Amino acid sequence: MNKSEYRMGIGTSSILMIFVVLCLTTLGVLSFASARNNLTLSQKRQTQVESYYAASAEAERILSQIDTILIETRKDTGNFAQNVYARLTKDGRFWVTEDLCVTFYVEINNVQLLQVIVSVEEPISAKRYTLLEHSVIISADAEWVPTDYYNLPVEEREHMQEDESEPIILLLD
Amino acid sequence: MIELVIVLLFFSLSMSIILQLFVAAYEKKIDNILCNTATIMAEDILERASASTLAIDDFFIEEGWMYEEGRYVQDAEIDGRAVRLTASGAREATTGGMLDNYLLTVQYGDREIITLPIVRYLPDGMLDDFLLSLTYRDRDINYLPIVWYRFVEVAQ
Repeated sequence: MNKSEYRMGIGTSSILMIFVVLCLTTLGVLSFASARNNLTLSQKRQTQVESYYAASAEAERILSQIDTILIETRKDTGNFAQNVYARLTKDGRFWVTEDLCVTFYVEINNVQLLQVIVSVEEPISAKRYTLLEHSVIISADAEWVPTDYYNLPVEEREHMQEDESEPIILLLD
Repeated sequence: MIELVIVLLFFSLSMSIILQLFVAAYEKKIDNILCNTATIMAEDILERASASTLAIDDFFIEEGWMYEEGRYVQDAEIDGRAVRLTASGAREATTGGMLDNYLLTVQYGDREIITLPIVRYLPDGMLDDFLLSLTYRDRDINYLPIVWYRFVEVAQ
């Protein structure tokens, strides 16, 4: 009597093992790629946070410098507003308007700036300045904005913005 | 018999490579957790220290940090792993007030995960205005929901 028996050969088990190995490899590669992408994203966020707080720290140091200038200006004789304007615009770092609003920028990264606006108080006030704004703005142009740009009269800056080669600052509010 | 040995060696090699792949993925995942959590932790401490009406030194003492070798130290855990937070710096007197200048670092073993500067300027006699100014700063950090309510809490 012939009995037909089914025997699984070594070839079948090898193919099964190859299939298992392929599945595990695919899963391993996918999990590694996912973990690597998540880490890259976290590192980018960390860099952004570090840049923001470095800029914020620099802004605080600049505020202390402005305050020192304001203290010295209060001791000056003559027109206070004119003296403030003259002292603050001397080194080209600050943009001062007629109503004594002082604006300065600190670079966060190549596309973002930290914009700080303070209002200078009259000498009769105990306060020397009031912080009006401390916000992140995005420069449409990746290039760093020249310092002198902010010291130009408004009309000239608007004229410059019409030219596409000049940087355009978008204020996010 | 030789074929069987070759097959077994091939599968052993494959499995060891696959295992290394999973281990590498796990290490990346741990790095990711450390990076993310340390960043949030550092931001939280920085914002609370900046918004505090206390001097930065007093803030760390009140928060239970230990003073060791000229710096404030606190041990913490991230996902069951011990990390060390350190803060060092000083308060400088300027013409118009005080400038707090500190560095906050989160370390895992010998590795620095993140370092953030805690710098705040306190003009003389302008503490109320300083606290008011914090509400302006809130607008920049609205992507940090964890520190948001604490900011508002302190500002109020």
